[in-house]
Amino acid sequence: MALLKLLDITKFYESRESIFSLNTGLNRAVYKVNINIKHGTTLGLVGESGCGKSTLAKIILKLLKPTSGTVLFEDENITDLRENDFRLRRRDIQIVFQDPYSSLSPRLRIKSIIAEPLIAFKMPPQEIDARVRELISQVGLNEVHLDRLPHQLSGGERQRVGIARALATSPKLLVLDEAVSSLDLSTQAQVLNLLEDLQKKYQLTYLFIAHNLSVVRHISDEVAVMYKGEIVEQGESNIVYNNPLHPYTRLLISSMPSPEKRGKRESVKNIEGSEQRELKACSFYANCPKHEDKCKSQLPGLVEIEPGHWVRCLKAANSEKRPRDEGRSLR
Amino acid sequence: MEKLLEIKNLKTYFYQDSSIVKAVDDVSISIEKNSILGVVGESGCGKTMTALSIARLLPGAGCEIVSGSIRFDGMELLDLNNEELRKIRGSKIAYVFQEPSTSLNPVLSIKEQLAEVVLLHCLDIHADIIDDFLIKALEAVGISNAASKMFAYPHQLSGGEKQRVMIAMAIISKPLLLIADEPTTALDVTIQSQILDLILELKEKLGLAVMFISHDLNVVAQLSDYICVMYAGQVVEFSPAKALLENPMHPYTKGLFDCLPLFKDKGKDKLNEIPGEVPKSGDFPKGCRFHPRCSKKFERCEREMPPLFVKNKNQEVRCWLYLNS
Repeated sequence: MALLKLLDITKFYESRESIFSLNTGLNRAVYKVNINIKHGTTLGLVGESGCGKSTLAKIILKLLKPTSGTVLFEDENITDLRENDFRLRRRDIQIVFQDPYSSLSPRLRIKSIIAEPLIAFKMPPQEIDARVRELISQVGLNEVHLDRLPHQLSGGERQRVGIARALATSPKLLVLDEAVSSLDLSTQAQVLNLLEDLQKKYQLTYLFIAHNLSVVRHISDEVAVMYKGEIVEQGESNIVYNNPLHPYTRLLISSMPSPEKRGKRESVKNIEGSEQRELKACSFYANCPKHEDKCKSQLPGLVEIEPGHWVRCLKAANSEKRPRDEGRSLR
Repeated sequence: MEKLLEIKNLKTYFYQDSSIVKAVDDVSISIEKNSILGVVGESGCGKTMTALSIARLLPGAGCEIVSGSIRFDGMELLDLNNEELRKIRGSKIAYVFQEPSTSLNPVLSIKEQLAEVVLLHCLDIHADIIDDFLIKALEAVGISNAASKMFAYPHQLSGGEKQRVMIAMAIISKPLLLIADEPTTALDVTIQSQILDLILELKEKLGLAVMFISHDLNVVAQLSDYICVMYAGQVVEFSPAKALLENPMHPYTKGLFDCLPLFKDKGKDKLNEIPGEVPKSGDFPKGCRFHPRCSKKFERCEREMPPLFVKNKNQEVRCWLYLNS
């Protein structure tokens, strides 16, 4: 069963040249995004900065109102719920932020940080202490940490506190917005393992947002690749990674640093600077190494190329299936 | 190969209140001409402080180089006074830092910032040909439209372009050594791969020696000729990249490789972890600094700090396991 469904979510931001100018333009942050996340699974959302990943996260948490589209959580439409009606739902959807340094209040002790959502949801005060102790041990810290302040903890420990705080209300869906990106390698592995343990234990559903493809592959059941506000490729993680079909996904994968690329220097085309886009053209048109004339005049839709593998590319859609193990040699 | 830079037994300490923080503790590394040395390690292991010590760009207050030797191109840098060192900074040894948006001056155009370097360090460039010279410098780092981009301000450029400008600024005076401190960490993967290509290209074209600092094992593995792994202010392994990648020797290096999620793995298997956390500088454990997290530790590790053992001619490793082998 799908726990979370996004239907045609679109978000435009208004932009002005300067604060005095009267002409406003529209910036497309997210455009017609459809996502289903099944109960107890992880959807990895990959893309580069500015592609709309975090906007999408904020829309799911109802911190932003989408311009159009619907968010269904357990088949209930939460997009237009008033704040009062949404309050009860909010405990089901929680977020862990990227930067454990700025997302914890520097003046609160760890126990107060973790207790805050409990107080907000009116847990009886006599139960709070026990719940906080339970949470802190769930994330692999112990009770001595409870009386500390955030600056007395290391980055990995702080991120564990962030996870404990998110788990406090026993949520069903956890949005992990670059939750391991700022951690050191050895700590990153610890936190990833912790997340997987917690998922198994509490049947949590994750939306895992990251830019590191290896990390996303490791943790996700399904992946969605975003580019300029659109989903360009989506499907079961193994299928997409073994057989990436969208040129952008391929570019991302071939850009990953790896020891196997030693001594080789393949000049990747500079994909910056070509910002002027035509509305009728595929959003990747200007940077696509394989673009054709029709890509300029025809908008590609998200097409199911093989079962469970969706690609937004005219060429990929036309050339039908490709041999499955193409791209398997890529690391 | 000829050594361009040779750091021996460098110690850089912070003096805080009553305690001493040994940020760099007895580090010896060397870089050959026209080669790339990758320095990896987690935050707080002393990578950046080592790099800053080379041109003495240390953050003032209470931080000083206690002892050691830094030989660069036949000179002992630690013997130079500030005035003499100024002539080397920026002209023979250049730096590129992590965050291009904070390294560039937001109120000066790219041209003004580049010209400043030229005026300070390239005395043979005349004012009337400076424009052409700058355009060539920007083109050399892959900036398209250099003639117009030159008049742009930093906020008008993308992250990748800013980092290219930083690199242009660093190499415009034809330095011998480029020290790049996490130059791609703030960039997206596709841009990162372009910048890595650029650094490799410049190394080949200009015969640069590069000290490339990163926390990303994959980046360092892809780029470097030599790799130095640091932990808690010390070098724990230093060897030619190929040897290190094929046969990592120190348990910490092995641990780092093991805890990387691999792109080809099917996912959902547990990652290997290195238990515990990096010790806080100033609070290092006795004996080997890695022993509390090491799965192979034995009694001696808790008692005595291992020296760097030299194996197979040029692989150095700081671990008692390699005492007799």
